[in-house]
Amino acid sequence: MKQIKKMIGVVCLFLSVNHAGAQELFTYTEPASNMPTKSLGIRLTNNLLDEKHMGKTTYQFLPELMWGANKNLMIHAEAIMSNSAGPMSVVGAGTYIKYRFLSNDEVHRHFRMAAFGRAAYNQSHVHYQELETNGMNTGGELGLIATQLLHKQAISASLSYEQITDNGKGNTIHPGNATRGVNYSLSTGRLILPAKYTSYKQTNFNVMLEVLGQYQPQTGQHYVDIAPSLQFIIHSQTRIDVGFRQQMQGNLDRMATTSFLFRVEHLLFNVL
Amino acid sequence: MKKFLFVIAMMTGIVTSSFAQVKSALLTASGLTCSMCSKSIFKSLEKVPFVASIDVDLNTSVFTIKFKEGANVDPDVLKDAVTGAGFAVATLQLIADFPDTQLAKDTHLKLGGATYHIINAEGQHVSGEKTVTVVDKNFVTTSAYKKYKKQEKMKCYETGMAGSCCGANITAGTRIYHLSL
Repeated sequence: MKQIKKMIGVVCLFLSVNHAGAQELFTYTEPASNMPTKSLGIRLTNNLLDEKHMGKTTYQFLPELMWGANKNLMIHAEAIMSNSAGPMSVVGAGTYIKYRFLSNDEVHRHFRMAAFGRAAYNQSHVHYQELETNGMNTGGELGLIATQLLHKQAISASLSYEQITDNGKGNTIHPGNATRGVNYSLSTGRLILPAKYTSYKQTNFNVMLEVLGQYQPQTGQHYVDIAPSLQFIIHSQTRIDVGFRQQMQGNLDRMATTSFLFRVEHLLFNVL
Repeated sequence: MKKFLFVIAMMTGIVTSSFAQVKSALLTASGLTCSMCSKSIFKSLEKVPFVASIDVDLNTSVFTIKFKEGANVDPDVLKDAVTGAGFAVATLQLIADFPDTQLAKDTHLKLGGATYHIINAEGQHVSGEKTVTVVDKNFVTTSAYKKYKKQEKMKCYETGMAGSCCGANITAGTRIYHLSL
C-alpha cells in the first residue's frame, strides 16, 4: 500500500510539472492516435527480462511491421523471438489492430479514443501466471484507449480484456492459473528538447512515465508496474526508446518483475 | 458600368473569370504538437499534385503552400491530405487573384477551378490578390463551425453541395465551398 501511495505521488508530481509539452508516442502503450495513411513503420523492440527464478536474463526480440491502412485504422504484424528455452528462436507471432473512432482536434490539442485488438500465437512453455499475449501467450486482447493532448501535454489511459489459451506444441496452462485478465494503463510524457522548433532535423527528447497493471478476476491476483522511459526522435522520422519497467506491487508469478527495453522505430511516409 | 456588371453577375448567380487563380494557401493543422506529426502532414501535402512547394512553422503548425501556376486547386484534396496524416484542418486561408468585381453576400464565383460562395461580403469592390478563409465543415475547428452554422442558415453551407438556395445557374450537387472575406 505504501508503495502504491509512493507511486501515485510520483505520477502526480510528474503531471504537475508537465507544462513544457509532451508527446503521446508512449514506450509501453499505444495512444488513441494512428500513424499516417499509406505509411509503413518498422519497429524493433528488444526486451531484457530479469528472470530471477532461473538466475538468468532472457532476451526477447519483437520485429514488427506497422501499416496505416487509412486515417482511422492501423494494423501491426509481429514476430516473437526469445532465448528463454535455449538458443534464440522464433516462438510466436501476433497481430494488432487499432481503430480510432473519436477525434476532437483543436489547435495544439486533441481528445481521441480508439478500440484495439490483439491476437497472438506462441509456442513457448507456459511457466508463469502473468498473461501477456504480446510475447508469451497464445490468446487475444480487446480494449479501449483514450488520449488527451492539451497544449503539448499528453495523458493517455487504456483498459483491456485479455484471454489466453494453451500455447502451441502442447504447452498447456498450469491448472489453477488464470486465463483471463483485465489490463489497465495510465501514461504521460513530456517534451524536454527542443525548447523551440526550428526544423524537422532537430532531435526531440521526451521523457515518459507509465503505470501498467493487470488484475486476474479468477484468482484475485494482480501486478502494478511503473515504467519510466526516455525517447529520442531523430529527423522527425526515427524513434529510439529506452525504458525500464519495475513491479511496484503484485502477487503473480511472473517471468520478470524488472525489465529493460530498447526500441528503434522508423517511419516510411507514403510508401503503400 | 461596374454596378451594371455586378447586377448582371448577381442575376446569373455566378461570377467567373479565366484568370481567377489561387496562388497559395495558409493551412493551420490541428491536433498536433510534435515534429513527427507535423512531418507526416508535410509528406502528405507534398504528394498533392497541384502543390508546388511547402514551408512550415513547426511551432504554430502553419503550412504555407504554394500552388503550381495555373493549376486547379481543390480544397478537399488539401483537407484529405491532412486528415489522412491523422490530423485536422483548423484554418485554410486562400491567397487568390480575384477578378475585378464587386462582392456581395451570397455571390458565387470560380477560383482555381472550384466554386465558392461568399458568405459575408457587403458589396465591396475587390481586384487582384486577396486572402479569404474557407469556412466549411472540416476546414475550421468544430467550435468555429458551430459558430458559422448559427450565422449561415443556407442548406448549401451544411451540405457543401449546391442546392436550390444557390440559384439555377449552378448545377445541383456541385461541390461548393464557402468563403469569409
